[in-house]
Amino acid sequence: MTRKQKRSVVIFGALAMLGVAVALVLTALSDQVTFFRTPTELLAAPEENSGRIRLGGLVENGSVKKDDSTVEFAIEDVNDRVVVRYAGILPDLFREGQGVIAEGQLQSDGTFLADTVLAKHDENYMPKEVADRLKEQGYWQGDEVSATQ
Amino acid sequence: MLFILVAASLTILLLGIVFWPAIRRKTADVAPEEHAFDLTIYKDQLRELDADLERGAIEPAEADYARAEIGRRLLAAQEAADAEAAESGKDRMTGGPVLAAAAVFAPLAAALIYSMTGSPGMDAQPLAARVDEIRQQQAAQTLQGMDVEELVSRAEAHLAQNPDDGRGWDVLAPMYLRLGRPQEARQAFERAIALQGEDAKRRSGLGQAYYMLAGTVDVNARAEFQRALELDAGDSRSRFFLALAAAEAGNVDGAVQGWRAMLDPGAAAPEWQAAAAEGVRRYGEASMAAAPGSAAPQLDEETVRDVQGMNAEDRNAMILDMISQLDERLRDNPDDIAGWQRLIRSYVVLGRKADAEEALSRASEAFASDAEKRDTIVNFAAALGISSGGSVQ
Amino acid sequence: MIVEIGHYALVLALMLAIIQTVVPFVGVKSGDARQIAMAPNLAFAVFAGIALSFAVLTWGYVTSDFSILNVWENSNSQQPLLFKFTGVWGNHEGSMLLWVLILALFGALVGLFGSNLPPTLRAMAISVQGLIAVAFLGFILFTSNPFERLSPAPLEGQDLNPILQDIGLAIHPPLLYLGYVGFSICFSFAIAALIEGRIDAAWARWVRPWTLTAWGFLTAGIAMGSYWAYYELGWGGWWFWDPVENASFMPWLAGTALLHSALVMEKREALKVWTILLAILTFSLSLLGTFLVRSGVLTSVHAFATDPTRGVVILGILVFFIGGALFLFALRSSSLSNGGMFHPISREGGLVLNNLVLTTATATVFVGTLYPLLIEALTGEKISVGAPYFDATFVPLMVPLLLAVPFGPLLAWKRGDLYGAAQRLYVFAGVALLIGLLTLVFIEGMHVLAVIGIAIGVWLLLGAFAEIIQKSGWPKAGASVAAARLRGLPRSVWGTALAHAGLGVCVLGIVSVSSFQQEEVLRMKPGAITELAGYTITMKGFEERQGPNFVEDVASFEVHRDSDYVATIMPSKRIYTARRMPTTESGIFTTGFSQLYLALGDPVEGTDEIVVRLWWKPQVTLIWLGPVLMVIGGLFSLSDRRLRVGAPKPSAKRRQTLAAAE
Repeated sequence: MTRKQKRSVVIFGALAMLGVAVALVLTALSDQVTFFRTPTELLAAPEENSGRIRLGGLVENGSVKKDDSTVEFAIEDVNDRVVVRYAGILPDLFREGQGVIAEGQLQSDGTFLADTVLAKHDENYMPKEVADRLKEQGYWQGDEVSATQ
Repeated sequence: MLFILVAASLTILLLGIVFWPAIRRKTADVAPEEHAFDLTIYKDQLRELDADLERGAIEPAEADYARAEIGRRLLAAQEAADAEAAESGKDRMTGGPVLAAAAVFAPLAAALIYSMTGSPGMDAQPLAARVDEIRQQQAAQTLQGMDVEELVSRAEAHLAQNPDDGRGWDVLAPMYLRLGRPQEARQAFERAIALQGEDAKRRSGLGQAYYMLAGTVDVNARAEFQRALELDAGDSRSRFFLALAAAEAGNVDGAVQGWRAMLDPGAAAPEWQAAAAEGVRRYGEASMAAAPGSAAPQLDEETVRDVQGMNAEDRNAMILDMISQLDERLRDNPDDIAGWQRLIRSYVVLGRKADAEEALSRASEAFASDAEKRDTIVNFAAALGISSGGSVQ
Repeated sequence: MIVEIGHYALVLALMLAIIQTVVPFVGVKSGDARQIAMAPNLAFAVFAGIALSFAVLTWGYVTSDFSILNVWENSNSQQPLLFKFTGVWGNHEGSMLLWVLILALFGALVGLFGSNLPPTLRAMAISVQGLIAVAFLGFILFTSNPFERLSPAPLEGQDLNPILQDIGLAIHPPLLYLGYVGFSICFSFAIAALIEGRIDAAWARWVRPWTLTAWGFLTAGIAMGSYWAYYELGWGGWWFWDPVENASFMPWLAGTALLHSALVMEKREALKVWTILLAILTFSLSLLGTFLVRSGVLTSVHAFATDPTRGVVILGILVFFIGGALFLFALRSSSLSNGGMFHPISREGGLVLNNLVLTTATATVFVGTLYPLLIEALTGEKISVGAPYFDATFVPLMVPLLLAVPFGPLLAWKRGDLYGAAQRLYVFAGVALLIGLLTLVFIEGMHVLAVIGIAIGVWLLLGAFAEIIQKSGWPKAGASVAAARLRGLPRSVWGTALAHAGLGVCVLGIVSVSSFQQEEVLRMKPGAITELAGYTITMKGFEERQGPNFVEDVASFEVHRDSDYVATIMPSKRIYTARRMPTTESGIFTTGFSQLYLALGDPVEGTDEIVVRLWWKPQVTLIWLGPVLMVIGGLFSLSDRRLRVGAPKPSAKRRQTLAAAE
């Protein structure tokens, strides 16, 4: 093989690899991306949000019901609430009135079946997406109080 | 000042390390030229190749290939090296001005930036040393017969009899503040406001109690200070803390402006002027330099520090004083559950864990016959992270 | 005063770092030997300043000096001494200080061990290293100064975030930073080579051991972090494809590629331009990792210190270094000469394949990590890209590489014999497939992916030693000759074998846990019994305990197998008193390579029951033992005599010329 041929083998290999990678990435991004929704957004268009969703908001006060190993609670924002069911151990910092994210799917009966529930390590934590949305809704002003340097 | 001396020696030492090669270096002391390094490596590679071949780690044919290739590189490097040697004459020493500039620039710029960001006069305050210091001061003050604790306990006793004596609360509340007992101070101020009505002094005192509880000007504290200013726009304490709140929220300019306004003669109470000056010094040097005309006459640093330091030390000394008295009193009169709780908490706050544990076991002894009270104390202590080990079941 | 000396030392270090950037650069450009000779000492002085400053901060933590704001915010006098130490880097300011300390350490090491380098190359690399130090020292001093004071000082601090009060965290960040920042050496040498417009033979020889060192630390750091998350978070997961994990994984992938391409460059002087580019990319990804973790643009289970305004500054630093480096690369790379030729099927070809796959895989991780940021910036839509994405992209890309790994070391340089290599390997392939199929006998149901996965793991593990067996000449040569040859083998050959075997071990662990793990969530009360993976687990009861700065509820579970007592597992829930913050401590029982993992949930109100989550994790420890093997392999390679280069003496001819000139 000439120098040129050898080089073209390498270049061809690299392009093939790149092509495969791009194809994989594009399919994965169209299928495997999880959208973030607030209860209001979720209920406004349930058909569009039939896939995997990260549902974020505040845990409604008094809504937590524990039953055997499943937990039921409601995530609310200003306008709406969605009942979430979850089988598993809630994170340490899960509390009523705190911001959480539940990851899972909306069921046909209007409840949300979560397989993951996230709260944060920090007790002041408000998941970033939740905080941004609630601020947009004028519902929550976190930065006001957190003046400690 | 010792600090300047140490900082200067450090600077000289590090600059010495840096400039040593430049000082020591003579022109005859020559580094090998660049291509000599290539030659060394190729020779190394050839040696390795032979070693591999000997060990049978490489096929002879492969070794021949490699030897030929390294040989070619070796020749090329040799040619380059010869060319370099012929061309290079002597080292140039053109860097004199650069080096001089560097030697001057480093210490000057370091001193400038440090003076902007540092607190050169401020001592280190390791906790153990501070507790020792407080103990010594406490001993000295007991000798002078100074006894705030007794004043406070007398006032407390009086108010226990006459809980509706608004003036009594008015007197006691600031004393709690000075003693560093924000929880009690808060209650006392609230009582005073309820009985005597609100005024700027009580509101801002309450605000300070909230500040001491939170360690920061939180929403509660801020609300009190704002209310105090509505009642009396000149209240120095509120002005100071609201500026601090602004600084904490990142509005440094606003904070410095607020403090500076307090620095004009007669514009605020002297002790808060001192505090405001310290605030300006900590946050405001940059903006002060920008507008020298508006800069208020600054208190000299020593004074500011003294005022600040004295307050804190006084306060700490009084706390310790109070604790030891409380300790004594509980030996004589152990049936006082609130007293025990206060004692244990005080020891925990001071980091005197052994004393706290000792107090806990004494308390459990005192309540040996009263399981309910004993559990209250034990649970209280456990919440603070204190247990008396095996002595209590 | 001590505290203020530490602060001043940091400022002074910044000034010296500015000199470190300017003087050696000017020296090289103007050919002033005096200035060139100052480079190592500058690196020493900057390191001394930062080390002093770091020591002072540590002293502040150990003695609980709450007049330092940073100490007050992150420490507590009740904290155990170990966590007073680790608290130093358990926060933003302190961890950045550790970052520059390590940066300066590497700079000083170049000064110390660089006597065998051409002085101009060394001076230039130290200058670039100085520029990085200037940027980060400035960042620390002006946006995140750890020496800010507090007056009057409070009597008690706010405690270190309880989740960080763990021995795993004591070691994880320093290891990770040693890895991240270690790549700065490769970066500085790459930039120096671009500025000088030529690459000496010493370049690859020198860069390779440093890449290996950084890579070893990074490997250990990532594994440590993964194990920490596994037992401390109580979720039983060992890798979450979390942005912060990806941030450390991307430099690792690129660094692994760099390690292999530097090998080609050293042996054959080929792939020069590519290696330079990889060196730039690897450190750029390290900087990106620092940015992602420090800026708070990504939320993550790990990000413990975030501040968006600081993020802007780090982003600026990031853009400057990456943009500048790539610009310089575009400008100058054509001036670098091309090296040796090779056939596509050869050792070099194999390493090129390795590089192609690793960089492509890095790119997919990169896309998955930053895509949500891009989408949010463009459309405002908030999305997240989680494990399913990475399973669908990263994993299929890596499989061909894993299959190819055992071939690589068997191919000769320049022109290899694929058929010959296959002949030596087919036995291993057969054994691997057989073991894969054998797993079907021991488990219920058909797990096709598990069979393939196990087979790949075994293939890697066995294939890793093919080169050694080949070089020993066994079985043709007879046992005694083979043993003698084995002893004579260069350590780097053993290093390669161990590292590749470690990869296989890790794959085995991953496949085993993801396919055969068993999990149960249930309510238990004292006396309750459950079964998992052949073990009988009995809940014995609760006990309240007092820790140094926390109280905990400890549950004890007795584990029996066939009515024989095996172990007692004690998971707990803690409340850290200073912050009133609860944490979950998992209880783990290790048997062989497998683990029984228990975590407590919430008590069920009105009963004496508690939610318990139990996992059986078969061969889970292999996931971390694999990287340990890789690191040991790295150490073997590092200790290889060949990586040491002797320093040349000035040639006699040149001495004469100079003597004549004087």
